[in-house]
Amino acid sequence: MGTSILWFSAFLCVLIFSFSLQRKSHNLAKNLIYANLGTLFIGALYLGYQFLSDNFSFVYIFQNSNVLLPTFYKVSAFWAAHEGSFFLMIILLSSCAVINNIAMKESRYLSLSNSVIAFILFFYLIFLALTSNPFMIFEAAPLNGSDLNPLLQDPLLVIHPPMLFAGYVFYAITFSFVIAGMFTDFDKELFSIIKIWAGISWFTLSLGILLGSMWAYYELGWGGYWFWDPVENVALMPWLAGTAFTHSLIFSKNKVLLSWMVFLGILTFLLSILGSFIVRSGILNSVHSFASDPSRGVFLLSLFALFSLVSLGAFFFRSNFLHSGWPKFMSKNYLLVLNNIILMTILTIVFLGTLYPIYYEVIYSEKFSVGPKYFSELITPAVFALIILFTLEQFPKILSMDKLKASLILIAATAIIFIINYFNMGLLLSGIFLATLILKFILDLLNNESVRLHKLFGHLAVVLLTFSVLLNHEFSKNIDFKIKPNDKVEFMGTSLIFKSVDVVPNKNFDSVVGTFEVEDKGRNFNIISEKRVYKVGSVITSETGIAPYITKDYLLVLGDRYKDGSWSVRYSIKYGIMMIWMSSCLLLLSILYGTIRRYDY
Amino acid sequence: MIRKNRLNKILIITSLLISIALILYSILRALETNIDLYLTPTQIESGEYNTDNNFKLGGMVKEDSLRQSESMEIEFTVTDFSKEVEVVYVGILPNLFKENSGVVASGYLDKENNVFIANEILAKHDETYMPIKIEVED
Repeated sequence: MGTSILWFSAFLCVLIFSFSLQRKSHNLAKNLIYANLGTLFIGALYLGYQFLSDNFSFVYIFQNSNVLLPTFYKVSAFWAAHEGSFFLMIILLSSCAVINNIAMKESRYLSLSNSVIAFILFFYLIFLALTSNPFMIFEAAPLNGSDLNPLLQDPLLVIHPPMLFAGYVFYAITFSFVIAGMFTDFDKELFSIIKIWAGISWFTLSLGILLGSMWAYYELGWGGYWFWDPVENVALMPWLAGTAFTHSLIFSKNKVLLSWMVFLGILTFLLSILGSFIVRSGILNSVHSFASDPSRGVFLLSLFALFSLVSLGAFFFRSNFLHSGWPKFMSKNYLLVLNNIILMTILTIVFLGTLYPIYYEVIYSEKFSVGPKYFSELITPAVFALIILFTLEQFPKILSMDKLKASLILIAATAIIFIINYFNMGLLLSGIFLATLILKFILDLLNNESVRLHKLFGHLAVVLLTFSVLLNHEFSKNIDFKIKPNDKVEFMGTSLIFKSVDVVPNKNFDSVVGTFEVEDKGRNFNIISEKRVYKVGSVITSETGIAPYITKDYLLVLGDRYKDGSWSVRYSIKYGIMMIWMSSCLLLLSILYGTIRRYDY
Repeated sequence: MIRKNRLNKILIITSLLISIALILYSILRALETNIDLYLTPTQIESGEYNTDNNFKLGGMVKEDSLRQSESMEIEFTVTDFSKEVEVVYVGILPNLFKENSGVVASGYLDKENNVFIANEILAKHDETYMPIKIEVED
């Protein structure tokens, strides 16, 4: 039944696509869009019901669920693996199409956008039905499932993947309107539609990335929040392109570099497909697993190639009609263009660092990885260039000087970046910029000048984030040692007492719970660190014990038990983690506020 | 006026091209210096690869080879089913680390004692974060 739902929905998409292109049948197309969402929704309810009733004759449910699994995770197991998350993405995409049709009844861009979305949906559905069907059934039903991956049994990871996918889906909607504009024309109405969708997509994708980062920090137990792992990088790439895209909307409003904005809109969408496909298809982690299931990988690559060809082809043929001007030297728009260039540079750095090893392995069948130093060394100066740009932008008087002086300032800024990079003074510099921006903000408030809150706080958040990341990088330390219960260890001016260790049974896992007491300059608190052994598959996970404070976090990971009753323990002090989360939240709030404010632009 | 505009455009485009070339050059140079080779025991023994600097050793943890001393030192053997390398590591092993499953150790080769001194151990996992079983090549 489920598979036929997918095929029926794909058939509806063909109808929507062709009806949307004909003026006479627009209304019919709209009704079919509602019907399509209804169809997919029935499919989702059907699959969800099978999860709740433990029907392990479905291959997907067998792989990702278990009788012992708590109900909450039975529901979230729906999107725990490739098939289900892709299905969820399709449902989201068609819901967005419905929202569009309800919210803007008479827009002349709507039908073009509808047909673009139907085009994308059609291929997604074909892909789902042919290579990753969540409704596939065993001939003989197993009695019990093989359990949801324990690492995924975490509330953060229940919302992180759908959030990321929602970000990708929203960028597809933004893309559909950019394409619509390319074939009609970009007027005020279309700009406000694109701005809202671009803002929503940007917000959702950022939130998705932040949640993933938090999950890595709390669940993986390495005390890190970003590893420059390929899986993370492919989510960062559309985010970078999307950031450039949102900024390019500001200058292209005056028809400055309009075709560049269109190009970025297309690029963001293409990168999001690359991301959403790569993460789950296993291309990145191992080329061998890619070869073991060639149908999925080949299908994905051809889909990516098809979307790229169609959208970039349309872009090159239509771009003559997009009248574009160049911005004036050192004007506000000029700085925005520079911002775009730097963001594109960062994107190129991430892109090459992520995909070059894969390319090399396929061609020369030799494996290597690109170290995190590659990313941090190249991206840090680029981020400082961005910070200097938007700080400069706060001082319009400097910018209105004559050309010679202005170019001298640009050259000086470049020199500063090279110097800090050489002497490792990033922390100091980001502190200075932070202070400058805050001072300027206070002065503007005192002088009753109008302040764009979302812009100012967004930029402040970026500087604060840079500051905290550098703080974390410079001062965080950890130590591995063996300790017996009731013993004491001194580290970085703090003392640690191993108070007790107990075994606690749970519904689907047993856990070893270690209790530690930390004393740091009169501050006294307990940290509980856990080690879980899951009953199905006997997989072991660590629940890192974390005591978070504004400037630093105290982390404890319980290791192994030795014969003499002692335990190996990793104790770390991490600086600035709370500040990283707080500045990211500030950034998110600024994006959200900016998006809402633009509504009546 | 038109001429001046055109001159401006040419200037902008050439400076853009030059900066793109510079950026690409520095990216590629950084790529070259930050590559961690990923070698199997057979590749190390063959002598065809540079093993003087840090690199990553990949393979399977040999069955019954894990020895945990009373200090935090851990020793085990990494095998690719034709050649083997001894690995020494001080610290806490990751949860996914198991005998008979994949492991990636980064560190350097101590050529005098012929052991690999690891400063980081990663248990290999696939995209579902489950330990990987390496397939034996014929």
